Amino acid sequence: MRITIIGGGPGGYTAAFAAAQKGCDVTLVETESLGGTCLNRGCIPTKTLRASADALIMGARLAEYGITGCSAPSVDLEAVRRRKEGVINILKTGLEKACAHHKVRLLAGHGRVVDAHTTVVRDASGAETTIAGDAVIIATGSRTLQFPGLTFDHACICSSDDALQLTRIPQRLIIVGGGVIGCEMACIYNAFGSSVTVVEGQDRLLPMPSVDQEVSTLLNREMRKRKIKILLGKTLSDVRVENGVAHGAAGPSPFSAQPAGDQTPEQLEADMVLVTVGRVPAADMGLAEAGIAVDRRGWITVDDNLQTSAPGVYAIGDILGPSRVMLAHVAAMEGLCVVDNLCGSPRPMAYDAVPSAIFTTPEIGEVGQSEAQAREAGARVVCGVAQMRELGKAHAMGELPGFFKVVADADSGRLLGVHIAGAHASDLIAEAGLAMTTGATLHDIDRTIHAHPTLAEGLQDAVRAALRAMKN
Amino acid sequence: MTSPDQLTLPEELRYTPEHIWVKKDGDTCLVGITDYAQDQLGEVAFVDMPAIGAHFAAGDEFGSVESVKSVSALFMPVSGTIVEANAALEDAPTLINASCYADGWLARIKADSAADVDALADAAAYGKQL
Repeated sequence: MRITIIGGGPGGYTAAFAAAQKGCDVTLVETESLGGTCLNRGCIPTKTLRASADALIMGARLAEYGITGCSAPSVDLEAVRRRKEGVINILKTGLEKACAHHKVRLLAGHGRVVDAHTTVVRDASGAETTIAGDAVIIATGSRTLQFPGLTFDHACICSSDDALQLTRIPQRLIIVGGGVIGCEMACIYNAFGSSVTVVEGQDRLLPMPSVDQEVSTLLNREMRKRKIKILLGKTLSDVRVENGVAHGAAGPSPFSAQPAGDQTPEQLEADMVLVTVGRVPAADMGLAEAGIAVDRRGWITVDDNLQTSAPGVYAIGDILGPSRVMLAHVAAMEGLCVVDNLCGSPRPMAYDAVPSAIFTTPEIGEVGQSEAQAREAGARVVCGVAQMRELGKAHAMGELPGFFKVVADADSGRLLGVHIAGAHASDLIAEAGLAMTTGATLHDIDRTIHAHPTLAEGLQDAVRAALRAMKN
Repeated sequence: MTSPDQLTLPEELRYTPEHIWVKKDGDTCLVGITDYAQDQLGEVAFVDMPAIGAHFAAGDEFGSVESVKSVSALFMPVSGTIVEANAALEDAPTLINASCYADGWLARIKADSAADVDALADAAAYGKQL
């Protein structure tokens, strides 16, 4: 089987290596950089900046741990950038080596699907190559969204791509959009010294249905403790840049359910405005001509087998848009499902136990439904909460903020959702992911011995709180 | 940990089961947490107060108090609007431990109905609950 994959991000390369391992003839087309958004403009660079920010925060707390002799630490932007580039290069080289090892043919250029059997690749010089094959997987991903009235100039009005370049630490930073990227950037730039204001149109931070309200409440409080200003139910308008300073008005948002208090727009000023309000499809590839249907926003529509409206052409990852889950690990799993399908052992893609990891301060890890979603779905719900500061390990580490919350079916004890905030939440959520994928119950987690002293015990404590609630 | 009979419960205040005290002061009320609550919490590290002008129904969570031991929600004693928050608590949250009924007050609220305040438990009733 000859498979052409367009897009070398986590969806594309995962599918490529899996297909090659199954004996397929694989061509991987990438227009910019292997690793896609995740490696070059997303997951990885954000987490390396996060690590530098954590080092700075710890540097300021050393005396708390009895470490003396270190004067006030500061950020060397060039060094932070170099480290980020270094990490990206290590991982990109690893991907290139993996392509060679798996005998995946890597083509640099812009891929355009004609049909399942034909893909045309145009390289930088304009020369075109036609790839013949049996199936195509489109994994071209998404790009930053530019909001009307907030045109990127990449100097004062910036996208997340610009923010990751870390050209400067603005004294005053406004972040429009309090979703995952906005909140992560707020915490990073705040740690590096910016005075940050987050403007979010809905009534809470991380306003996605799967995010539990208690997580939004905790993050709001923890960000405000760090002097990050948070304006909820507001949008930024009338933005103009004069002499490198952005001016705008934060007024009531049309997305807010209940505008509270004063309605007069607040005049804001900043040295940089970061716009993180969503993503758009990277789909400029003649989809209509190939008979590949998209929705009205341009995201590719697929059936339950991830096949587009053109037979033999599949699509995975961010290009499917927000009706699916736009995360790297989802793209990767969708890629594996498509490859299994093409190679004769169909595997359905499931979205009910997708973990998300949010690298704010503190971290957040979630999987499954929020309490509100579980109740809305009609289940008889029981919840259990344990605070991070109830754990011996949290005190020993000096990382108190956070909690563990389990949402379960009160009749069967089956887990419906888990929400963790606090140190290492992004790693701790994996246990919950396994529990949900295998249909584990509260009793299963209760009878699993968790090592002491660890943060993982917090999940068991929350489970036990839920079990006690079930008895009452 | 202080035993219940050693805690202070000013007679002129009203109380909720969630350990909030209310004191009528003209046409507004002051609210705070009781001696029992501050004793249970231990040294207060941070107080999370709502925005001025925010309205809450009785029983709604309007903020939180954080100590090394726990983060505890603050529940609105009666339906009303936040008129003022104790700014001194930002730099000196331990005022709550030192003087929970006076300098450690949390917020000033305008109750939707004065009768709601009168209907709250008195010191004796709250003391029995502890």
